[in-house]
Amino acid sequence: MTQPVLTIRKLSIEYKVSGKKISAVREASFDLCKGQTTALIGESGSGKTTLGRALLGLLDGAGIISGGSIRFAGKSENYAKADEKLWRKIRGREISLILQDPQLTLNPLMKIFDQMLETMRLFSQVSRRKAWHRALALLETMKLEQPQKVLQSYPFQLSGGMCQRVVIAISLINKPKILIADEPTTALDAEIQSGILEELNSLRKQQNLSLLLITHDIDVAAKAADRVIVMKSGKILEKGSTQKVIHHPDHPYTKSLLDCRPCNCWGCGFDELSISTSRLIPSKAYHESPDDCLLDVDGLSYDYQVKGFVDTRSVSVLNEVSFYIRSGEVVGIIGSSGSGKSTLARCLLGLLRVSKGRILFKQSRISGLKGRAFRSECRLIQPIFQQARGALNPGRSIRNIIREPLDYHGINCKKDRNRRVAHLARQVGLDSEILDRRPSQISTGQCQRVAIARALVIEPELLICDEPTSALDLSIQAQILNLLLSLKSKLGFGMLFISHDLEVVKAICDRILVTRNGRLYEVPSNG
Amino acid sequence: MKHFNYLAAILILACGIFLADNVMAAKPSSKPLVVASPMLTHTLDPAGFESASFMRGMGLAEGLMRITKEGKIVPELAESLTRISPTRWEIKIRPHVRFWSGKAVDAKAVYNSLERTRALNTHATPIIQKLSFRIKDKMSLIVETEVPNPAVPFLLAYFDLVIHNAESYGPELNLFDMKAMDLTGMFKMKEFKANETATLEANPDYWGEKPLTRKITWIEIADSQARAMALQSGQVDIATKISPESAIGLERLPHIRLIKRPPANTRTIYLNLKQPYFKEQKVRQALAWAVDRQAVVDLACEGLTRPATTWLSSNPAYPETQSHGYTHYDPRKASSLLDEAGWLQKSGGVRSKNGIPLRFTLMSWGSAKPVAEVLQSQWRKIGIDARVLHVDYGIISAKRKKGDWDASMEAWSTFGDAAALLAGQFSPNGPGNYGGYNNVETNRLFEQLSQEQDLQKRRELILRLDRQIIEQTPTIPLHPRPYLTAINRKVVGFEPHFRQFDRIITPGLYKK
Amino acid sequence: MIVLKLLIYRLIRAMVLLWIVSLMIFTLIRLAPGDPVDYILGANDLAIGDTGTIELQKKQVRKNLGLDVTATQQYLNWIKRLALFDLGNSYRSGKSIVSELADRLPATLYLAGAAFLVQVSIALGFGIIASLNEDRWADHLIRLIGVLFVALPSFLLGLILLEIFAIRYPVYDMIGQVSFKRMWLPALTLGVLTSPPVMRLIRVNLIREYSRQYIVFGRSKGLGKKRLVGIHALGNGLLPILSVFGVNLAGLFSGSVIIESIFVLPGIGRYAVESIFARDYPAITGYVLLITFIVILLNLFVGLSYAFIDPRVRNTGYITK
Repeated sequence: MTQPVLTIRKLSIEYKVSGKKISAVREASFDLCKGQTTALIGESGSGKTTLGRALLGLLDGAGIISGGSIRFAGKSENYAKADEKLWRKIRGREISLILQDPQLTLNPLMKIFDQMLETMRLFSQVSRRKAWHRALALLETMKLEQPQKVLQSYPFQLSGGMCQRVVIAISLINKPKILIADEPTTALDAEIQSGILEELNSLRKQQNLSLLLITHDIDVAAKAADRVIVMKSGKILEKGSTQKVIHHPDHPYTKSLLDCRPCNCWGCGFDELSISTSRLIPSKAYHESPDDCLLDVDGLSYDYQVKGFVDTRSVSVLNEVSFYIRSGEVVGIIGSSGSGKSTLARCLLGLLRVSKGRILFKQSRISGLKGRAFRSECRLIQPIFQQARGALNPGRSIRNIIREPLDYHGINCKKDRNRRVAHLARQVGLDSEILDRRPSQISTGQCQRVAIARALVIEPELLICDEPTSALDLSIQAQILNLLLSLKSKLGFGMLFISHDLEVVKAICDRILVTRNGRLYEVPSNG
Repeated sequence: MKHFNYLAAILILACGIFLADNVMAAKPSSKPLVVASPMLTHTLDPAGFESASFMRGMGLAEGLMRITKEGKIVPELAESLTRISPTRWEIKIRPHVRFWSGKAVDAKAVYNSLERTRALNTHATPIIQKLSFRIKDKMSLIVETEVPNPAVPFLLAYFDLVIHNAESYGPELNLFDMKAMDLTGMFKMKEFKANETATLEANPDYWGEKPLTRKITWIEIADSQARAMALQSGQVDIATKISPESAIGLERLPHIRLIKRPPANTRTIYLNLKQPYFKEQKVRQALAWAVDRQAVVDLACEGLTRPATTWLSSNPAYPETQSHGYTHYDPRKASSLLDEAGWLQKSGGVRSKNGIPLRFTLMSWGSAKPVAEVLQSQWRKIGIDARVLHVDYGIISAKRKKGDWDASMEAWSTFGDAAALLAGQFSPNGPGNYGGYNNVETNRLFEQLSQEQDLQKRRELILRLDRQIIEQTPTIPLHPRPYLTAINRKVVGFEPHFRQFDRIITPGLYKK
Repeated sequence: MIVLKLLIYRLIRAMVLLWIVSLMIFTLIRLAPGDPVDYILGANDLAIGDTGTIELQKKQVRKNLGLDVTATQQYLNWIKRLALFDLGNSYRSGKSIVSELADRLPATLYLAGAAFLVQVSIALGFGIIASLNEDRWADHLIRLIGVLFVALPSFLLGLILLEIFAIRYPVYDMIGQVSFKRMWLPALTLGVLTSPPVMRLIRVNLIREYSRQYIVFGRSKGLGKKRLVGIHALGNGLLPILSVFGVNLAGLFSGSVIIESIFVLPGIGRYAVESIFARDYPAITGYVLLITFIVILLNLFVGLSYAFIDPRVRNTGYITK
């Protein structure tokens, strides 16, 4: 084993929440070694992000290190007790950080070059021109195309992958020895994910970096790390070489993590791109719809209006999309981000006005309906969104949230409504005590259950699920998917399941559709 | 010894000259004066809106006659005014008076000035339409009236009839042309910014007593409290129209003098006589007796004015009227009047008659709100329920025009041609007769008054009218609206006038 | 070219807006109770003569003011004059409204501008301090001060400050030309009194920015607090407040009647109130048009500044919305 650059011993971190102390990390001890990638795995709330931030002294206001030590090789101080002044001496130079959403990691109002320049000027005097050349060289090593253009761009003008490369370039400007990567690829599309991981890997080798990869994705860890640390509830449960932990896990929790994956063939590089276009059948306009057709979409187009200074351009997002869903059927739609799958969901829910085509729900036309007419016609179509917490009104209790559709449509008397809410809550696996809490007081997984309960409360015939599990940890993902499937078999609703994750779609869908560049293709059943 | 005598004489002489020089120097070189008022003259043309009266107050302009602070009419630019016949008067113009430009003020100039006022100043219309002018000779004018009018001196003293150089101003309104401005006052306008400042300079060629102050700066400070503070800080020497609330603070200061001369106007409650309960004289009288005027003055006006017993009683020329009418507070009499009229009170509630409660709305505006509130509480004591509605004047006048009102407050000037003023308030088509008062006996007295030429008899008739009217109480007099001026004690020679806008500047005024 | 097109587009919209506003105010003031003629004739305190004469007199005044024709005709006459940038003459002074407003505009512009600077500096200063000390005593103290300022009536603070600076320690001139010596105290009063809401807004926005990823990333790069707060957080945090600044400035421009009367400033706020009391129709209409124009101008300016500051707006042409 090579010599450690960072030694953590019995590190404990606490949060003070309204006077009470909540332990976030308990006596964590591990080393980061030169030139090695260490993966820190755990589900959300396991304390892995807190631990990562603590290594840079970046705990936010309420967090404090209550014990233990953080020691950097070659420094005598125990950084667990360091103040801001001391931390500033090593941030950027000894240790650096990259974060989950690269576009949010960069200041939206500053050009990329200015953000690089301010970083270069932190520890040395650099002229603008010199800095420019250095920035160019850095971006080139990050394999960014047209680096000159990138330097002059604002973050919003770059794609997520490009941004993440820029972020990595910036974090390495002052040649730190340690890089903490906190879910560096989670917010990115699958195709880009692996590129970024490869890039990090090669940089690690080139610069002899010590990389701490914080992730909830055990596949990513398995692919990229030399060593793996598994965390749960603030405790390190298991650590060791990747081989050992992934293939011969000691701890039962690690085993359960591995089992949670919907498909066991991890690492086989599955994404929708692997389905070559030649095998796809374009969905036809004016297709023959079956008799028990629940939803019938015919020639649906949606154009997005971009208002310019004077003129208005329109960008086609959906182009002549046609498909149908039988009652009780689960249809999956997959596609990379920007392929129009979310737009399709919004069109079906009446949130966007379709430009062309028609939507039939149980043989009656719903496209073009507005306001209350649409809502009463379509109350049997219910949505479930990705950001469950964001979809819940933070000011209301869970009980009120679930009951709201009943109140709105005036179904049953109040007593019956509350009984129905309680019944549904049980069905989706929510404790009855949760009903009186507010969304901010429950976990993300619970939020998604609440969202499902709310969608099911008026017994819909069609659920439109837009990436319902993407924001969830793997273990919870599986629970939610299982829940949806069991509810489906019990209640018999149809489901349109939108995801970018082929594994998930494959696991639960009867038929799979693929969106690509605004068009819809059908995957032949033998594929 | 001889030499000593000479020496002593020279010394005494020198001292004398030194002292005399000092004494003489003290006055004309006195310091510039700063005056703050809520409004400046709106324009530079005496025929313009709200201009002539301000110009008179500022010592810029003069008329043929003027009203002294005692309430007498004396000649100003006229040397004399004599009645030749009941409808004809002769004005002799004061000799050697010149406009600022040097042009002589002669009969022709005065005639032109008056005719220009007639043509352009709509304010002056009710006054000047009664008069026609004719040039008699170079320095005298004949004034004729259609009907005998003993009030001609009053009319000529009216503040809008300012003598100005009509040639210089031209035939049209000439509102902001400083060069055209040509008047006779003891001060000349030097600089003028509308709604802001006016700078005045002593007129060296003034015909009368020369002013002791050389320069006056006049500034407009709209807020009463701010005027009071400017005075307190010493940045202003005279502040006019101080509200009672700001006056209390000033009264305590050693270097400020508060001038409390009640003005010649009467704040009056006008009653809509078409309302059934106000048709009853006893109800009106009861309302008037139930008003504790001293308490109103003390509570709502900080004690800075005095009660008015009849409408005319605030006119200094008719002090007798102060013993007419509502000389004291008599709630018992008020109650018994109401009882007689059948408005009965049950267990301390609102009085009623035939099931109709004695309830009405009193509209107030401007500074009258506290007065209305004090009245409300006084009336409640005898079982009258008055509701106070404090609104913009526009709403009051619109409601009165529609006839949709019960009672409102107003304070009209009581000084001038008393016969005309009374007629304006109480004759059937008087513009101030809002309530629609129309009484045979009163009308007969008005008719008699218009025929009477003898001044003494007229006076008696006016007093009779005053008694007759207050007996019927078509309106309820309260008190003169307080109008206070505060001055720095360094200011010497300020002469309080009962028309506070008139002659603020006098020749003897200066600052130590 | 695009900018030119944009300006023309904006100009046409502004004209239409001004026209609608003019029509509205023209109608509304004529619907309000009260007759300007009453005010003009009522000013002399004298009720003499008889109603017949008074009616004649009123007729004369009405004719002089051009109020003797139908409202439609009055509007047409007014529009005709407006085409020549003539807003008519004041009923009271007879002076042209354009010059009356022009006389009063400097004081108002000075006051609004200076008060805005005071407001923004106080709001920024305290807002930043409060945000950096979230939930600590400094934050609570600032919140308390803010509440105090909001609760304080402007005339009270104005009079207290006058008492101190004009009477006790006479360093402030209550009279004189529009100048710094004359404006600092009213600007301070107005600025202080209007700052608390902006202060709170800045605090909240900054606190929200502090938890953003780019701030965490900035810290991890080794950036100092000054740069993070002063450049990164402030730039992003102020974006949503920009339009609030615009609205505030417009409010300040429309004049603070109380401050203007207490500090003896010849501003348009007081002018407007006096005009309203006297039913000086042309003056009221002129004032409303001026304020509408200023608001339009400010909105354009805010829109442009968004485009200037926020590259996302610049590149999508959001400002035309």
